[in-house]
Amino acid sequence: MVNLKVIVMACTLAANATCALAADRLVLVDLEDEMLPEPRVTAEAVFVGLVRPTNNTNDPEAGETILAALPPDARSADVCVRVTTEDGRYFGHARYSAEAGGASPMTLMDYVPLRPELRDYQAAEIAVLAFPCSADPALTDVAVASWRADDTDDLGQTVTVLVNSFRADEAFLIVNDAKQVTCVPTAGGERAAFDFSCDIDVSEIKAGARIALYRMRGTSIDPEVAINVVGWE
Amino acid sequence: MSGQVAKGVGARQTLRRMKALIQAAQGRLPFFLTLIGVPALIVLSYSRPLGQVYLVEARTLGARVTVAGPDTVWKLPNATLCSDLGSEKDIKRATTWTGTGCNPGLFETIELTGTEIRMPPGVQIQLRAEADGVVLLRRLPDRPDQSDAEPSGIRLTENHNWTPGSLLRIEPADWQRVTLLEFAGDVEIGQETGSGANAYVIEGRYEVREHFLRQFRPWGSTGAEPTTVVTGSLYRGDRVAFRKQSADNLPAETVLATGFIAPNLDLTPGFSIVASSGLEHKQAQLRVKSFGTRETQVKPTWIDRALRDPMLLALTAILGFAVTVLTLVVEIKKISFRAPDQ
Repeated sequence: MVNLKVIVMACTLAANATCALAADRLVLVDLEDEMLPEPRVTAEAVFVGLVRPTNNTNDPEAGETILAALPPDARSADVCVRVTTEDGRYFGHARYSAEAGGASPMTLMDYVPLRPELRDYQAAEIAVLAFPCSADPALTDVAVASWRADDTDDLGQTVTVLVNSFRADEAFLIVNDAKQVTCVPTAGGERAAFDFSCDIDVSEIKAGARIALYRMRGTSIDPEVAINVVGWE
Repeated sequence: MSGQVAKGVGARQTLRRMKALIQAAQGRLPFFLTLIGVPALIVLSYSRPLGQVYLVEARTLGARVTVAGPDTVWKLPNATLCSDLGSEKDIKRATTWTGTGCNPGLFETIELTGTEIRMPPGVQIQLRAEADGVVLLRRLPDRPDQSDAEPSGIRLTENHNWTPGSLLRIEPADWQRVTLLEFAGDVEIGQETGSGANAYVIEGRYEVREHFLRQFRPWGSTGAEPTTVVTGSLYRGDRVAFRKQSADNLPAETVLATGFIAPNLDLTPGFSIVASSGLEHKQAQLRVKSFGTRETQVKPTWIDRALRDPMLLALTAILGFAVTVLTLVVEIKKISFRAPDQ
């Protein structure tokens, strides 16, 4: 088996410095989802999505795929994915096997919803949370994921954190105890599964990061809720 | 041959019977016209109102007001301006603060005495009552399509403005001294209920009052008071808003409402709010969203109006009484004419 470090070193010595391994495709083991008839006002968790959008327009007829930044050492156990729509009507939970192994820092997962209505939603209305199943339910380690993307797509330079603030007045993120990010209310407003979105530059988290959410109500601030973002570079 | 003759006889008898029925019906034509015409006239008369007012009174922990029309002026006895620090917020410092009042990691604190606030159209204010009796007036971002407010904020003192994101904090004792806070604009009472909601309706009621079509006066407006045609209760967690009628798939437009906000006289947390739509808004609706249910559109029907119109009720009662008396007289006459024959 070729050493991963040797490959990366060889690539960086080449004329074009960028050299990417094709993403490892994981096998779907189990998927459960539901589509409610009415919008649900709140989702269960505070962190609902960690999404890196693509810069290119995707074929709407193509299948739903998730590209997650989860290097091999972070996926010794199976990989779990939660998909939630902004209005809270759709909620899906999928489990993928990491038994096949692989050396790529990226994983590709086919998401085949049992509810075809999910295709009617725009990518910006969908929150994806990918994480090693061993991190569930405490959800301490989370990967950056891209919806309807594969490893040929041009990924954006920001990662959007989608949170459910439980009706806070304002929300803020602190990245690695240093960088402060002000979150912006989403278009869904109070009737949304996630009501704030916070944009972080990829460069701040690609090596791994701790992001802490602070919610302001009136003149006071709630205790932090934090997660670790798995690094992939 | 005898079969054909029998058939012809049967057909003639049927024709004769139909002719007799038509003749009988013609004799009763006025009756049938009355039987169908009067109900149709009643339905048409009450199908639409001449004027309509929606009135809401509620005790609530929260409300949102967007000023419309002329400037709104509120007088506050004492208040603390928690002026938003914007990009200079120190979240880490804010999390370690354990005092009361304005969090120094988030706001700059300015004490105000006897403040008069003048709010131009477009300004959005969220009122919220905390559990300890403190009332917060939070300035939200202005409505971009309606705002006449200065970019620097609403002037409170010579040196301080009320900017979006900033709060006016009123202590319980000062809140009890607040006189009525009048408003005109788009108002939303309560908050869509869900985990974390803390600005919900506690209780309340609503009424719909109308002028009927029969009260139309070509020489001017009717001087009669509108009649209450629908009443209802508001429950804890309801959210109430005034809206215009719209198609199902289009967002509803807001309707101008006027009213006032006042402290609760029984000193309980929260505040009282009374709001009403204008009589000229015939297309206004009240939308009530209760927890776990779809939004309800309160809109009276012709049945509501007919059952509450005192004139129709009086006419029905008089007519019923007259028919009863007439029937009684006829029966008595029958009995008295029969007696000599017996």
